[in-house]
Amino acid sequence: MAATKASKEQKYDRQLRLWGDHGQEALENAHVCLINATATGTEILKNLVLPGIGAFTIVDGHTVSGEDAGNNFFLSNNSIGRNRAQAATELLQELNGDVSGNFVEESPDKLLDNDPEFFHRFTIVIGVQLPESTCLRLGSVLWNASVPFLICKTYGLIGYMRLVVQEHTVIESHPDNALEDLRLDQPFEEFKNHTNSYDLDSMDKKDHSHTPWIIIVAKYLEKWLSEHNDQLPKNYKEKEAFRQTIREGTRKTDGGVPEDEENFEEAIKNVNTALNLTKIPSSIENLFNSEQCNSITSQSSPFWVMLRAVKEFVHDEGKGSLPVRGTIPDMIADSQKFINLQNVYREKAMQDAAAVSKHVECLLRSVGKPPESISEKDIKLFCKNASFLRVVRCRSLAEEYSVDSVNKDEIASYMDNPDSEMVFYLMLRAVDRFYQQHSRYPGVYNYQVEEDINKLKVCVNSLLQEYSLSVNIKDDYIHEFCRYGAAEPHTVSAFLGGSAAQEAIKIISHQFVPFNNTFIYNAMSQTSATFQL
Amino acid sequence: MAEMDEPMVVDGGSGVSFEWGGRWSHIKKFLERPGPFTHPDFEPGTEALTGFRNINVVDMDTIDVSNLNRQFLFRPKDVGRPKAEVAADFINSRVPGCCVVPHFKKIQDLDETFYRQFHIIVCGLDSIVARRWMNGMLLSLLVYEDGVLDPGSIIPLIDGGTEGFKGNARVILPGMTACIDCTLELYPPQINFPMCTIASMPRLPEHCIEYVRILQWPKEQPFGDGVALDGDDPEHIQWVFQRSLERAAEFSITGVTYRLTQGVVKRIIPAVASTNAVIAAACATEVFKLATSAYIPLSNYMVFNDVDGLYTYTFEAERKENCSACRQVPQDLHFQQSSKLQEVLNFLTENASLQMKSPAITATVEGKNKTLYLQSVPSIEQRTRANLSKTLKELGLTDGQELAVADATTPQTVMFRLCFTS
Repeated sequence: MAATKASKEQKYDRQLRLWGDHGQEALENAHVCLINATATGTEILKNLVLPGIGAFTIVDGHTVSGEDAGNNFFLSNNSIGRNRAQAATELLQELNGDVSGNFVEESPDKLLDNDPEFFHRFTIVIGVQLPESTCLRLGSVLWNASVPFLICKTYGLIGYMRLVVQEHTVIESHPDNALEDLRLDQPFEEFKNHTNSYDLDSMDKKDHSHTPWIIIVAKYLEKWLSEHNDQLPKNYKEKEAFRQTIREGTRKTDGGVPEDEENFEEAIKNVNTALNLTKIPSSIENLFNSEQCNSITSQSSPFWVMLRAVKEFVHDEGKGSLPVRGTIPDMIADSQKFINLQNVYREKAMQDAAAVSKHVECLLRSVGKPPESISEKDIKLFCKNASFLRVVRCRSLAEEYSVDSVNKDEIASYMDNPDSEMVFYLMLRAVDRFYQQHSRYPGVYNYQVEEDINKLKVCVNSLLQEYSLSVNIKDDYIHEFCRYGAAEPHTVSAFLGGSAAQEAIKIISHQFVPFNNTFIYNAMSQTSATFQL
Repeated sequence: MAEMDEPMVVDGGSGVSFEWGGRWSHIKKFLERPGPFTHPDFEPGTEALTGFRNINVVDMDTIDVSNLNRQFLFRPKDVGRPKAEVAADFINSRVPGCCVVPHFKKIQDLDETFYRQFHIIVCGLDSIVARRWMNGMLLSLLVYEDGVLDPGSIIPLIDGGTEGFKGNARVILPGMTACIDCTLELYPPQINFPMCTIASMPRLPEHCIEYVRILQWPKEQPFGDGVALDGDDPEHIQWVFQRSLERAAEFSITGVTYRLTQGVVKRIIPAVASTNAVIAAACATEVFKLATSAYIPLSNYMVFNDVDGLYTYTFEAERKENCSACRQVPQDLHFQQSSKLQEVLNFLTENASLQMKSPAITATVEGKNKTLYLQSVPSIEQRTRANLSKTLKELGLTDGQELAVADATTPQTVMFRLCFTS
């Protein structure tokens, strides 16, 4: 309905400015599964329901305890004794009427026993406060079904997240400080023709001081090349000399005083970045060399088909370069000069995108797919972001946990500093071990704290031994983890709630870049770290 | 604003029990058990922490539909109601025993007797000016005895802010650690386009929109004389949008959209639930630490960014040697006797460490308190405007003279000392 669409535009306005209508559409088509409506779980879901995911399903076999009602904003003391999935669904559902909330009163282990394919329907599965065995089982099912899996845990003042996704492609990574794509070191023909239309010396004062700095640099560069054997200014000395030629190009008054020409100042200021060589980023070269790019089949996703097409473009029409991005930064200039220059870049970008399109069509035909199955719009967007493409591949849980493939180097090198956040990862693994052995977590009751310290230490040592890790874990951390008693304080849950929800949104929308693959948050020091395990 | 209560009240007076078994189980582990990382002042005990019972919330705003994507205490039916009141109602009903008292006011509408009653102040303000004001208020409550700060007069300030996927949380102990003004240069400058670009040389769609907002609207007064542009009125935005399209067409500029128009006119900052949740959680953790001494608080500034993975950076912001807000010593102002008062005014507004908005300058001249310049009251502005073009000597000011400056950025006047240079 038109009314609903307009009111959604209003409601979601602040976030639409970040991920656009197409990002919002992806969210609204997503179905998220949350396992365990603990404080951490409901805080994560709150930050997914508010921005309007299509649907959620909470899987939880627990009944609400007094403890649950004490740390969870989405449970009340009236929920005590009721199924936790159902109770939480009610209070989460009322956050946003656009979202469809569902619940399954069942433990994930039971579902894995009886109906593992239950999980195949979800866009992403978020598992919270799960024991190791469940994580590994579920991890395996979701890996084989290519369903992204986000594991979250709040343990005392420590937050933990693990992302498990085989291959996640990102076209719109929205980099914070991207370099411009101006091609001043290898100007394309249309740009050369455009700069040739300028004769700086014969321009009147107003035009001269409102000529875009890009043109100025191009002109002076042309002169420099002709006087320096076609060699670009390379070192500081040469760049400074080049800047000087531009400085000398400023108009002077009759008395010989340089006029105030801001565009020339901009040109001088931008010389360094302007002279950056046009290069294909190594990350993109790596993608070009990957298996998925080189063997395009009918199963290949549009990302890989388009990437292959760009690769072919690079070797053909692109003459070794990516398609021109087509954007220029704002600069001192009169409107017409700026717009004309902008159009030169825009038209070249369109041309390049059209050439890439032809390659896309060929590739699609070669694998028996209709050429329209990838739209012009998508190809243009891809070309515009060609320098910023990202692919995130996380190792499976099985790889992380297996003795044969554990990332010993990563763990050991971080543990060179015994207070590194890595120690918390190892402690979390150790308490998981404790749980496996004793069917409970250490230090839950006051009387257990002291005696569990030694038991936990045994788990720590057996873990280190099993993985042949010669690292030292200070006793203080073992004591602290017994002290935590597997508590799930609300403020730490809420921090993870925001963090995890945004990672889930990145996975769903394919915009911005997810972490890879283990995140640790330490609320004691308000620090964090990301490891690739 | 959180105030710690005495040991728990089980019966709220109406027969309703605020307790149930296990309610504080998660929190108790941090209050009752000793540990290797606790604050040196921490004493484990079984005196019940009953959660933050008495909380006051101050907010001058009413709820807008665009708040609903992230402000989870508000519902569509609440649109138009005061935020402070709706938030208080919601929490009081969801969290038994919690008593949130709302104040539908500007923070500046409350005075030191109000702020003095709190143990901790937490801010989620939407402007630097407001932050500086609160900072100044808490600094004004500090008590110095023989030049020594009385720690009992310190009210910690926890400040959080977000923009899109970026945020920061900081802990300020007024008079002891870096204050808001100490780190003013950390904040990025506001972008305002040059007038000549807007007036005669637009290149971007934003320039076209600013042209309509700044030049065309005042000229055409489309909704009546004296009717100011209201960014919240869709009809106003629609008008600006249409005129911006026309302006853009004149210069062959593409990209003017309704969304962009609204964004430029209202200076909208994108916002999502997740970043706010992270920063709010970090702030709440610090409130907990300060209130219970369970751990050493954040020292003292954390930044967060989850555009690419998740990134945090935690550092100790340092107090500025000559901070105009938190240092007890009057700041020196170096000018020539022949400098005009206008130059002093310019310095106060343009200097990166001061960044005053509309300073009012007074001085004691020949035993009498004299207002040299004040902009915010039209009659006084008219009367004192001539002083701006007079020299400091002509105004009767002497070397070493103290100037008192008042400004929106601080509740207290800031003292400066004039130092004449040759």
